Amino acid sequence: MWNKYAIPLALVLALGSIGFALYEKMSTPHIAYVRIKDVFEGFDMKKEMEAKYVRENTSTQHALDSMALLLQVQSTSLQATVSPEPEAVNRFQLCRNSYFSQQQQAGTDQQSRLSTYNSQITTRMMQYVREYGKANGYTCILGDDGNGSLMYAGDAIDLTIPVIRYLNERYSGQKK
Amino acid sequence: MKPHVRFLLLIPLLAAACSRNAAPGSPEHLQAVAQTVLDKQQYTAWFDSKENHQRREETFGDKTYRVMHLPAALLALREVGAAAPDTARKAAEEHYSDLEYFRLEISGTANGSELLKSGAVDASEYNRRLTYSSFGMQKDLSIVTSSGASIPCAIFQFERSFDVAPVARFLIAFDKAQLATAEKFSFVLDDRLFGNGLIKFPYTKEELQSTPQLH
Repeated sequence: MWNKYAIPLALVLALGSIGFALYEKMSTPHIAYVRIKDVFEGFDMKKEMEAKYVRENTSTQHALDSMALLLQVQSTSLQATVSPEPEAVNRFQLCRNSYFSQQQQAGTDQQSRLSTYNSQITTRMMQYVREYGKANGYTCILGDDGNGSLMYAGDAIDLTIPVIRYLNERYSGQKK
Repeated sequence: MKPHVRFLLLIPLLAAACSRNAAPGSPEHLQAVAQTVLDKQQYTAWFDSKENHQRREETFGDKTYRVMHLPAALLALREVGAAAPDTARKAAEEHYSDLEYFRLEISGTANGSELLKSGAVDASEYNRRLTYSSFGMQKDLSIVTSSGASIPCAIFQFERSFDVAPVARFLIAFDKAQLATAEKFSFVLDDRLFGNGLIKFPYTKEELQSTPQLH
């Protein structure tokens, strides 16, 4: 008699266990965190944008250095002359003003570019982390910025490394 | 024969059936595509279909970026039309053979408005975008090979859509000889138009070469 009920009973129990496990999995919040600074530093887009930023700054600096050298030559020439022509002095002053104005503009542009690039990298990073979270069934992925907003989280829920890997694959266009 | 034995025998058949619908871009798919012979209408339609493995797409915010490779045969066919004789088509194809052409399409969600106007705070920003799209964007498009070499854009053309649709299309071409040496490369856009930064669309040489044959 027991044999007759054993198989259906085992099936019911197995299905029940699976159902319960699924319910548990779906109802329990799936929370993890990433170390924001490490993710940002490990993101290839940041590395490439940084290289681009340095390249652009170097190019601007070269132009400024050329102007500075020209100013120095003019200044030396004026100092060597006992009574320099007023036109030459005016030209020098105009060049000097232009140099300072361009130097100031370069500083402003540099700041503006830095801010733009940082914003582009952060926006992209957040989009990819959201995609990663959705694709892997996370309820939420917290960001540890090292300022105490996340006081403690165990290593078991630290997603920093897999998220960096995902970000770089996604950025290179290999993963969708 | 017991039912579970019959099911086991079905597995190889299912696997064979699945392999016929190989994932776009897989070696089996590329091989199948290269062996496909299509008539002129089917050939043109194939490039706009989802079957086309040479299409790439990325979405950032409300902007979608699509890149599609345009082989010389397709450009020639579009230029001379399906009714033209094969000699005319072949001559036109020769004209496109030195460069590798791509189409970049940027679309937004603002219905019935020109894409360049979307999010522009004033006329000067719109004008700045227009000038950039027409002349400045060329230097922000390149192909970067797996060895790190950068191939600049050789031809660049902005197709303005005005208020017809929130879409901007660009025809871009790169030197074919330089590209021929790269096994893998990425079409790279440094988006200054909408400030989304570097966007990459990866390709392999095999993917680029695997197109259907024109009957």
